[in-house]
Amino acid sequence: MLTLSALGMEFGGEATIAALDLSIRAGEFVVAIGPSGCGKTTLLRLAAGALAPTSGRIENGFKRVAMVFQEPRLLPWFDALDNAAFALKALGCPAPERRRAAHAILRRLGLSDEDCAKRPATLSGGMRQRVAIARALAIEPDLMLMDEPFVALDVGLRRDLQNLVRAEADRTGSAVLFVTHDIAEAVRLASRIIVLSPHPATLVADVANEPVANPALALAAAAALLRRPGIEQALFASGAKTSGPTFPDDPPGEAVKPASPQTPKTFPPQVAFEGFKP
Amino acid sequence: MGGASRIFWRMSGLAALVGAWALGHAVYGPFVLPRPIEAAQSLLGLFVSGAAQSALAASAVQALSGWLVGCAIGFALAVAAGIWLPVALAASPVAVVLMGVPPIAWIVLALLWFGPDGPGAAFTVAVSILPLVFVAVLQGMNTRAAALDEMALLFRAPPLQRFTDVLFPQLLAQLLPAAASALGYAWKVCVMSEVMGSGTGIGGRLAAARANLDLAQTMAWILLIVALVLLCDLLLVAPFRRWFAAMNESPLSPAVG
Repeated sequence: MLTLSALGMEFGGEATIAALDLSIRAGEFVVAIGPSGCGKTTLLRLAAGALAPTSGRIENGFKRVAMVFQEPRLLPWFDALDNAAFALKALGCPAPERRRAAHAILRRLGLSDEDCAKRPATLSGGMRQRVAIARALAIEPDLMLMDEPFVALDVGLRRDLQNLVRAEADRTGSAVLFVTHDIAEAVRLASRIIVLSPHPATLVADVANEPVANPALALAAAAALLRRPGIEQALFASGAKTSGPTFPDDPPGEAVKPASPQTPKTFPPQVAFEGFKP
Repeated sequence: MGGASRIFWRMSGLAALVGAWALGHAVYGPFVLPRPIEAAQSLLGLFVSGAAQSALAASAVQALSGWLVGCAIGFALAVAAGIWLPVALAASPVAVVLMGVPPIAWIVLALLWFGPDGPGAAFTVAVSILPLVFVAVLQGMNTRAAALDEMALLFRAPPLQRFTDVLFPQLLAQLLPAAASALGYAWKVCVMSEVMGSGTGIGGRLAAARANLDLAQTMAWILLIVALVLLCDLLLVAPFRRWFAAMNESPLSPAVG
């Protein structure tokens, strides 16, 4: 379990995060949303142990923590296989074993044998991000920290990778803390959504969510989330409401729930991987 | 341009140089410039007698050991300076001072400290190239991708893995050109040092040929030095440069498309 208690973080005397309380249990898929620059990445870096908080406490009971960054952060001098095996090497896994494990996971994520031998520059953007995800998944993490990993990808590819990550989380039962500023992405993935306010980041809302696979229904669920008190103000603090979807018929404060009983609650692997078969 | 044309134009440059040499001989006579063919024959004679090999071995020991030591210390200092600010603050002015001291000053000091037959040439080479490598690698340390360091740190990679897999490959972009320049420089400084010390290396033999007014042999030794520098670049540095160019891609390419 990851527990953040009264967490505060300042940079140069300016508070980025203030009095934040949050706990994440095993198997939870928590998505943190907030406007750009509100401190979401700082929150992840604190959770990862890369930063020490200015105030408050962090208790991390998860033994294996992996991170997926906004950009793939692959080593350009390594091929996809060695990049995927990097975190296993850090754990001291012998070379043949880690290469075998990395190969298996890359294949599961849709890379061919030929792709495994390619360097990052010769892979597409989506492939590179899959290698980055493979690097994180290879160590079978208890906790995955994901920092807007699909923000630079096109819509179709983003959906493929969202499905893939959700399916992997369901399969392994690992906890996930995923930050994004995309509300639709949050309702597609999360079992729990937390909303952060800007400058400094404080917890505005913490709501249970059932993942919504259908893109249209995800937008409707996102709109419902926006109708909850305080959320729209937190996400569009500058007053620029035009970037958020508006659904005049939605009543204010409606609970976030799938719009249809047929909406799948989870992403079965066979569905999630449909698009990745070579 | 095709491969044959490239070779033709490369050879034409060298041919023009030899032509200018022959013209110099024709104009100024054999006491200023020997005929190119005489220098070539003299060089061949040096190899046949074994003099070239022994001089080459003596100089190579001094130049390469000095180069290795200079590169190693310069690299290690720069890595330390890139990690710890106090080391950077302390080492940078020293590097500037070392760069400001002309090699000839080190040669004189080395002769006094080590004598004509000691490791003076190697010392001079090491101390001359150390600041070049230090400055280049320190620049690499300062411009390395912090995002990759953070990635390695967050995956709890041990220090050795962070060095071999993340840091060192990034520093090659600065280290390789600096080491290549330093290698050419090392031969020149070594020969200069040997000329002053009159040792058994190429420089010592060059000084002896000059003293005997044997211009053909003097030119033969010069040709040998030039060939040596080119050969080092061709066999040691160029393959590394090609390998690095093949893998030199942006480490933080965004995941687009």
